[in-house]
Amino acid sequence: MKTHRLKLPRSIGFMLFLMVLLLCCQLANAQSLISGTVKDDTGAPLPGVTVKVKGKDGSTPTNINGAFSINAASTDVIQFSFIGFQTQEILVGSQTKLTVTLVPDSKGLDEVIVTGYSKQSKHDVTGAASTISADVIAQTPVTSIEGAIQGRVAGVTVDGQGGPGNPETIRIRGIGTLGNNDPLYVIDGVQIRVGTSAGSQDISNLLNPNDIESLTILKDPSLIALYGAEGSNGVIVITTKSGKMGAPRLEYTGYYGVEVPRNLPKTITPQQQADAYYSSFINAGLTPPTSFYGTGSSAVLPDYIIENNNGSPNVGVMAGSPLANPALYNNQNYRILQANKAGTNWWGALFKNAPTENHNLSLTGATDKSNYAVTFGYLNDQGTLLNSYFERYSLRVNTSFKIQPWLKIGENVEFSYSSQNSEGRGANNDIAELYLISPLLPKYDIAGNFAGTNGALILGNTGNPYTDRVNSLADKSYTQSMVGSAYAEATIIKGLTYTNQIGFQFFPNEYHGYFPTAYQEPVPITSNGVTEGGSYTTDWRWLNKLAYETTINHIHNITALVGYEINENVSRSYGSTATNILYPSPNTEYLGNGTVIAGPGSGSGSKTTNLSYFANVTYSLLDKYLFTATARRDGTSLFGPQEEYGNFGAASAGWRISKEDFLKDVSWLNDLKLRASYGTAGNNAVNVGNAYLTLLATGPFGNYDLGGTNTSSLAGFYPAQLGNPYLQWEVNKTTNLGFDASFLHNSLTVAFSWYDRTTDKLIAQPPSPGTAGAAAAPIENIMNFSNKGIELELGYNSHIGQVKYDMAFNITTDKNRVNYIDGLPGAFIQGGVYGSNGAIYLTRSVVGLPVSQFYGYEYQGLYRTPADVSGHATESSLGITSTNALGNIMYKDLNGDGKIDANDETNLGSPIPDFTYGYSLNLSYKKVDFGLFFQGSYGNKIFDYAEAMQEYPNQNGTGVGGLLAGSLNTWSPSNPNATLPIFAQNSSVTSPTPPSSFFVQSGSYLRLKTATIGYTLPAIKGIRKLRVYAQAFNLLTITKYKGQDPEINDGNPNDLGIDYGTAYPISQKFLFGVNLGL
Amino acid sequence: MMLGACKKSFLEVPPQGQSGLTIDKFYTQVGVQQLLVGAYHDLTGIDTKSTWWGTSGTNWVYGDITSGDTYLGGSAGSPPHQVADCFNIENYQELATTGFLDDKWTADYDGVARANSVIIAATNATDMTAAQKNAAIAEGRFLRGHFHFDAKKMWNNVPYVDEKTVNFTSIPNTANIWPQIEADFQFAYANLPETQPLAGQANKWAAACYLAKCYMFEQKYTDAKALLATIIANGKNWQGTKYALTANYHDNFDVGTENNSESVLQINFSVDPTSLPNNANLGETGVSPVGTAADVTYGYWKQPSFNLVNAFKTDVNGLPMLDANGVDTSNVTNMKNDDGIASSAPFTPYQGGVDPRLDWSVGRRGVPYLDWGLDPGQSWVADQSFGGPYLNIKNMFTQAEQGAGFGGIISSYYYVGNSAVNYNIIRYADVLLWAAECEVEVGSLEQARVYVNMIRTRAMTSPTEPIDHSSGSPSANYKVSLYNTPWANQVYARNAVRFERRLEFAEEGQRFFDLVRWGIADTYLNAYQKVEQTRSVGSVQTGATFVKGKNEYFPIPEQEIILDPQLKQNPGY
Repeated sequence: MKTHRLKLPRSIGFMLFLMVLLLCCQLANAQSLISGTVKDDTGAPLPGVTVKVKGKDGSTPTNINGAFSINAASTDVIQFSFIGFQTQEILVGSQTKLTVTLVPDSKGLDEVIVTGYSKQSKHDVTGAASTISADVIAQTPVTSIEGAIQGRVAGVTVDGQGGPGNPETIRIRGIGTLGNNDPLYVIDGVQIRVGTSAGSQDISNLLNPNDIESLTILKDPSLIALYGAEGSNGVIVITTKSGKMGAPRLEYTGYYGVEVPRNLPKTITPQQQADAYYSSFINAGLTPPTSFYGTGSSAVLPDYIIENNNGSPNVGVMAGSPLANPALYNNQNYRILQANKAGTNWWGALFKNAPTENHNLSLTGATDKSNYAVTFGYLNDQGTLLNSYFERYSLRVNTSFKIQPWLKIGENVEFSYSSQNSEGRGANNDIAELYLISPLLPKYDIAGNFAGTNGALILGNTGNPYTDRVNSLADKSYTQSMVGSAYAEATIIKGLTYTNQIGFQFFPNEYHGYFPTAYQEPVPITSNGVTEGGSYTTDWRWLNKLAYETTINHIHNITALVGYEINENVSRSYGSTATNILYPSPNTEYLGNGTVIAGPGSGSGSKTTNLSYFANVTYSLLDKYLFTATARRDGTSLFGPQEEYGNFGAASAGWRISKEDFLKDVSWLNDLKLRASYGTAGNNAVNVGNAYLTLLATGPFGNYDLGGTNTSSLAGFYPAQLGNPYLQWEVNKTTNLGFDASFLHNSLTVAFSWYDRTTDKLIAQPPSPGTAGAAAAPIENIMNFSNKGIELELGYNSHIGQVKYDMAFNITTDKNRVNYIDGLPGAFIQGGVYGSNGAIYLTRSVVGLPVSQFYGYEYQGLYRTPADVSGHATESSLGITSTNALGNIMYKDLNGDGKIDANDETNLGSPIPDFTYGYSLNLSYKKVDFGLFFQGSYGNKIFDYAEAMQEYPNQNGTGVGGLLAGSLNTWSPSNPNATLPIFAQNSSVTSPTPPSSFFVQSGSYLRLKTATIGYTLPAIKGIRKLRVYAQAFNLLTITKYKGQDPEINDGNPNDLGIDYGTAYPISQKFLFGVNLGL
Repeated sequence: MMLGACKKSFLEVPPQGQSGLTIDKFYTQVGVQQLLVGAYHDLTGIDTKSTWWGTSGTNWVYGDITSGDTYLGGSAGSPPHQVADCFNIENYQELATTGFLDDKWTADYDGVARANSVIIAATNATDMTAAQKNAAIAEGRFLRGHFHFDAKKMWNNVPYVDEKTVNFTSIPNTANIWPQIEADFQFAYANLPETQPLAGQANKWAAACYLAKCYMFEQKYTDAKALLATIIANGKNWQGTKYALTANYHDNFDVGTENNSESVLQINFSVDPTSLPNNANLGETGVSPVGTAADVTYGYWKQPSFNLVNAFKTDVNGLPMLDANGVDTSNVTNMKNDDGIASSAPFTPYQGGVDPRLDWSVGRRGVPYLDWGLDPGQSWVADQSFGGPYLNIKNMFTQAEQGAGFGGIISSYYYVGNSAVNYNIIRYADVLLWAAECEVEVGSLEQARVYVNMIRTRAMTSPTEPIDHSSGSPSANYKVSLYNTPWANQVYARNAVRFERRLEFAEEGQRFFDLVRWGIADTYLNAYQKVEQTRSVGSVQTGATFVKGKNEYFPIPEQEIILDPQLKQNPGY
């Protein structure tokens, strides 16, 4: 009935149309009614497909069964177009009944750019944006979205972080600030704080990448200006899955695989270590200590180690020594260890192959009145490091309903629950300990308890990482997150839509840890205990938006948008520790079972509010001349009352030159658009409370026994944080020029952008002079720097016979330059703190050079001969004198004043690459598909200062470190051509060795990120789709870098390119997966 | 709702939680008191950026191990980073990059910042009378004076920071800040009350004493003499008790008898479970003897030198071994000691006469180490070849005190050696010996002798503890007497006063600064080094030389010059 009623007006229209044509054009061809159905490649009917006669006005959609009818002449070409599918053209000829199968267009989703507040056809977008579709994400079954982005998009760099659930680092168009560089996430129209900013969450805790329908990265000023104060680092807009018209679809995707540790360091043997240690004393003219390796002229490995030794320093003894009498053993203060002369493989003890699995089930569907997508995901990623894992359950429900023709309501919500035990980066983490612990130390003492170093330098003076990992079994953090939005969308009059949306985020987070008694640690834990705590964040956001869209005289397309948004983010955290847990076991490790609560517990909170107005207008003339303008006014509680509002704006223009007459007949050019834009966006990533002058704290650093009681103290308060109420927004001003083009029947696509992104009034926390006290420094607007670069994305698809292939290549260059630093001429900003008391800074930002340059002396070789010593500038300021210089490092006397001092320090290279790139190749032959994806970085340097501890064994004159293979090649008179300096226990020589170019290496690498082979099974009744695949990650890495892995950036712009030797190693992965659609 | 949210107040959210305490909340009497406690806390030197030893309010790293009285001690395998810095400081090899120095700089100026916070809050307080405000400001200025003084004696060329200073990256250190330091103490002297409710608080007389100390460091002997005379005549401690030497010398180093009539200003340490470890003597953690119940591993630092111990020898008359010009001859021969002798081998302690203050200052074999039992010698020392055979005593708690919770009870490793024993920043003995110095320089030698004899009288009449409890008889041949005849000349008098000061304040973090203000640091310390380098004590380095015109003051930390280019480096660095 419905169909019939619809047909009637169409016929009338057709008749009228026909008459006009007959009258005016005297067309000879007879028109006839063509009908048919449109299906997708699986045979399901496709409703809503636009059917039109090419070259003529007017079109008709397919109905819910995919059926259509249209009048056309036999010489007409009928076009079938639908978002997500390749447009198909059929010459009518003699046909009156058509069955059309549309082929999904892998580029299909690129057609629409979702900017968060609106959607735009890609053809109309005048700014730089890149899109990654669900198909691409599905090609790389990643645990978090960062993995899907890495190497895929020009202008975006991702640094992988090892460790299950550890957040990776995404940077859009370089380093824009010295503070938070994390992009803003917008999920289904709701801004989410993820990354390192205050109150933020790790994106992997709250979003299952499998739920992503499309992901758009906004880089252009004309697009990010709409996000004003939070947009300057770029915006990642994520749209989650919704149903497609038609019958319900059930889909399962999943994989199971194994993670394999890669490139674990090799260590030297205990005997080699002992010999090196021995000779280090002889090299310094000292007698080697006799406590460990005997009294002879060469080192003899002991049979037993007496650890703790009733409070005296540890000693090594031979079998039969009365000290090794097992009867003396006492776990608290006399532990006897059988030395492991063969060497304990600590790396092997901590790292293992680990299973990883991921399962997703989705049910989607839609009718003309409703749309639903329900997805369930489960991820269990067991890390290669002992007892590390990340596990996530997620449930997403997206629905929308068309209540009235003018009213649509809907919601998108994801609940996820994740738990994690991993090892982040930190100065003394388990990874760092691995580089220090002696291979002579066994895992267990003679009583079967964990062995430890008890602070003995010879054994590494470090915690036992194996103990730490085994004991961390009970350490878990749990995050529950509920993220989503609900909205109502009303069409007031044609073209005018009002949207009211409430976005919400709720993140309760808990952690639980148990630490057993451990007398053997350098800092003995004399009582076991439980640590528990948590935090929660609630964030609500209310958006009111009015959008208008109209076309005037068929040639003027205008859209306009005004909106208002308010937001409040509140968080609260708490924690407590109880010690002396009686009868510890997993079911008794609770605070209440502790007998002593250590301290008053911790607790704090924060609150921020934001208030924004925004407007956006786009205008296109003849679909050829495109213009946009954007304005936003943001207010935030993060800044002082005078500075709380900021104004941002952008303008852009585009010219679809390919639509001009003079290019219309160029058959190889399908589309060419030139675009230019300029705009501003802000960054407000500052600590809550910075707007207030001085924040005070109390506790052990403020309390004092003013009353002279000897056993108690009065509560005292002290300035702990200096504030700055005059801090302003950090502003990004970006100019962007570029073009988008497609050639050769759209088989070749090119997108190019040149950008100049200047960060002004840069927000940073410069090191505070000691003269201001010990309070944390205020945050200030101190700097201006720029990032300039180009981005090029190329895509090509074609076929050779039955082998279809497509490839994509992208390359990005970014040149950073510091233009201005507040203060006196020659002012600079230091970063990259190294050392226990932060006395060494490894990087420096100075005007005229890229930000965070490595800084130190220039390595000039080793003092190999006395002539080298006498002929070189004095290094007495480093404690190197004519008597002890041989074998030490010669630094270059840059100012030629005959002495090496701070004035000879200089810039040693940049951590910023010349370019980064990605290349993917997908081949398919009949039912088999094959894919390769490479990604790399070129021209960046790495400051492997960890090497100073790990390989170069002379730090602090103590003989710790130097355990890695290669560390034995130290200078001595008998090894004059050594690559490493002398290993000598010379305490007057400055230690650790000053930063110098000795530690700077090339950080370029090329990585085969994924290799995939898949097979799609032939159609079986009842099964829409079945594909199986096998995939390998990180199969191949080509680099000259000597450290563990060249992907070392953890997101801190001050630490760029510095390898602290604390990163969880990135592993290889081998997966087997299934995609099944019903 | 929309309109309501538009109000400006929606965006004005004060910081929450632990960062919610803005200074304006402290503009009350209670708040001022709390800031005052926080400022006094910094007397300990333990702020949020401190490194225990390097910032200790007791100054043992800068005042003792540099002075010839003390070896760094420990062993070649002690914890690396901190020792390397101590090591370089002990051997005059400190560099502008030596991390300890920047920590110390920060610690002193953190104290200044805290004192300034008191002044700001008191000035703005809403519930205090003008008199109350003045007293609180005076206390803040007293502390500000102390921290500047501490920096001044370390570096000489230091900036002055008051409550109005806002730009810390362009403060010069070229002006002499003695006038500002004096002004702070003058104000405190004029405005502080004579008595205070809490033992650790500075009163009017503490300010007077500190002002006198400034005069001593400025060689303003005339001004000092007058002020010291006033203090001796009228000075009172926090309780209003007239200043007097305690009957027992050790009462100044004992938990049970602290804040006594001799106390002018003490660091009040406590072993306090709620504030651990930062209220105990963290800066000297690890200077207790190795192997006792008081220690786990970090014991055995800050070991008294042979040279210091020898100085306690007395001649047949019970007087220090000075020659006719007052020059110390005690170091011609070493006091008998157990260097290189195992604890299991027999040993009889030195039988010659010694000043009893020796055994309240130094632990040595065969003599009771407080109530911890007879010092067994080598087994209590980490490495005699590194730090010599002697142990420090003055900051050690007794076994009884440990039992009562005044030290060493903390379960976590680093804090086992922690002590609640107070440290004297100034005690009345200082006042008397400064007065003696002034009399030598601008007054009468006889009056100087009177003051010195007051000090020696107390040494004589103090119980000759520690008693060897097993025998009930004195542990050693204690022999000490007064200077009973007038001093021959000013040179002798000057030397005698200075020598008395060395004995009285051994191991109290003062000696190096005294040597510098007397202008004798280079000759004295180089002579000392010459002898020490023949002893092969491991912590003393061959080639360590004190350079005149340079090593009197420490280098301005490089990091500070980087951040404040107005700062000029000290001569020689």
